[in-house]
Amino acid sequence: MTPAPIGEERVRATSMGEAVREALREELRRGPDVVVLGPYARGGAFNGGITRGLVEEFGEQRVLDTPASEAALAGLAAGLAAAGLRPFVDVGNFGFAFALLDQVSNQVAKAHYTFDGQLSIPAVYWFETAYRGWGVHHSQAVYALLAHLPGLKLAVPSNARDVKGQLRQALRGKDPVAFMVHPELLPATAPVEQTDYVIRIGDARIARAGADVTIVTCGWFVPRAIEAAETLAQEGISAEVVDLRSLVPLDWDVVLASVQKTGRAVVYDQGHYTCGVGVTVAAGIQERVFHALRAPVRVVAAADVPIPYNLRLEDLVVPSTARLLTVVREVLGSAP
Amino acid sequence: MGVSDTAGVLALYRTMYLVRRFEAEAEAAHRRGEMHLPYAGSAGEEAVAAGVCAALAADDVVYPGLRGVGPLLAMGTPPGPIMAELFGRATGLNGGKGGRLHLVDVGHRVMGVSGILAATVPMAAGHALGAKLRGRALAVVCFVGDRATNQGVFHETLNVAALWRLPLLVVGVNNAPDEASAPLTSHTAAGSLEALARAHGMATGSVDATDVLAVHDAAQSVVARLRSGGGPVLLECRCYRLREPGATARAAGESEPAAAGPGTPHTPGAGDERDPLLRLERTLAAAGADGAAGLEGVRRAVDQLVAEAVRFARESPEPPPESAFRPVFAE
Repeated sequence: MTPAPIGEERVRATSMGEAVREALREELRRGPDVVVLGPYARGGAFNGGITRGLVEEFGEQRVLDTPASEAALAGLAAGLAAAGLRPFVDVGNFGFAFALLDQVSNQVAKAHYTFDGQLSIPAVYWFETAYRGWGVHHSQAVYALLAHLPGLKLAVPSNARDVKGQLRQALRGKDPVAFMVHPELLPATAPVEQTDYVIRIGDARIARAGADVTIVTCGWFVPRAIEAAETLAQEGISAEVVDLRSLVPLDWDVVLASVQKTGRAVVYDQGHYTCGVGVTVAAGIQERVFHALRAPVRVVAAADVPIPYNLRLEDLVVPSTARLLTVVREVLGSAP
Repeated sequence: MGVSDTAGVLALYRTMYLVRRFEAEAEAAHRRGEMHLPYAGSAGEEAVAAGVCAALAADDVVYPGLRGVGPLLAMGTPPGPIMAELFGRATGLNGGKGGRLHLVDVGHRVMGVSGILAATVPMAAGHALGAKLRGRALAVVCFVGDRATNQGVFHETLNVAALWRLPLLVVGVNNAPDEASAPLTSHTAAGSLEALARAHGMATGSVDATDVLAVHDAAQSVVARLRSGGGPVLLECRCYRLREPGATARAAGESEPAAAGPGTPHTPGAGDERDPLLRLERTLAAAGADGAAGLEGVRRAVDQLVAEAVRFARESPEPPPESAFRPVFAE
């Protein structure tokens, strides 16, 4: 990286939560149409601090504290967007998503298509995907629930740089976007350019280059997959990690190019197995680049059971890096 | 627009008669097999859309809810593209992808028609919030049927609308008076839509919606209140769903019997005493406006307009196959 000139900070170590807050602040400053709303938006006490300080700077007309009425909140945001504003809705935990699904799936996601392009609803919905150890409602990361709704983009960033670029894109774009972000990622820092870059929702990235096997993953599982890849490196296995960054649209080009290079793929999915994102990616790989494969594609996903409260039980249901390592070794062992 | 003059009253009659004729022809088209989804009309409720929409100004916005044709026609959407949408044709309002339950005409400020009861109420409130945040003096109107008021999102939204004093008019269409087969009291213990809204701290009004002039006056005063920063209002419009004698047929997916059939869409000057068209016809006839320059002329022009709409729909092409796959995203 080019060293920053004296007196000018070009890259700064930023936490993911800080990056979200910075993006929101910049977009709130950038235009009068951006508004932030949610049951905890004003204080920033229960959302990893992503909205902390915003109401003091922008006032209660731009940062709105709402009643805990998720369905109405989702619809209010839809109406705001229909009226030309740019709402960022801090919904809170993903467990609340079920209460607002009619609004997001039936009203928001389908609008652009149903009304033949007359009306699009570019609202942004922010969900924290899972609190570890909270039990069946708060600890679920059901990506497929939102990924299966045509018309809704789904961003699943894993780091400060990506979330900032994607959030800028979402608040400037024309489509509705949901973010699903694991709260344990929010304190992690990464170098973030101090420029006005955007990241297209639909672009994956190679998080770690490798030659022997491709691990496809997203969100909270990206740092875990990288950690697993470091362990594998010590065993002489070179693993490439693809960070999908968004699930809708899904960047098949990056996934398939990587698998064509390595000849092996393991999909590492925090969501449940059946009808999940993991099995979808695995199916797409074998359907499109079957002849490049040197081993069967494997899926390491959460079991098809609710996420239990007890931490040991949770670790049995949500696939650990140990489970990922076992499967990757099996895939390499089965190679010709 | 004032309705103290005969021309204004005739304009209201024209809207109501247009809705009545349009819906009768839509139902007839379904019976002929030209339209695959059964039509569910609003016969007897025409005064609600006609009276409310005539009270709106150029910036005001409408979210019709489940039954969109009345508000669309009342807001000025031409009947041809609506009928073509019901026929699923390329020239339809939504290119044949929406159908009866998803009719939107942004150009005429008709935003949300939805197949899910009450689902557009929070969107209307959000639109009103947007106007308020931008400091724009406009009114947003949403229509809900009495059944929609049993939805949770209806109550969540009324609470927020009252809390934030949003410029929102919720038009509660109560077409289930006590003598109906499924009266309001069979599904709402509070007994009236006004009572529901009052529980959320919202101002309310109630009007006899067989009288379009009364609906118009009530809506006009609510809209003036909204524009001057007064809080939201629920206006309960009491009316009657008119049906053919003995009609019990239920359209697939509809919770209520089908509306009046096409055989007798409306016999001017006669019929059910609770028919808003009949009521206004008597008023206009008493004022001497029943001739070619009045009722008769309006009906002849509307009959022709609706016949043209059916012909337009029938002669319009099917959507091209590639349109099935777009536009899912705007970018």
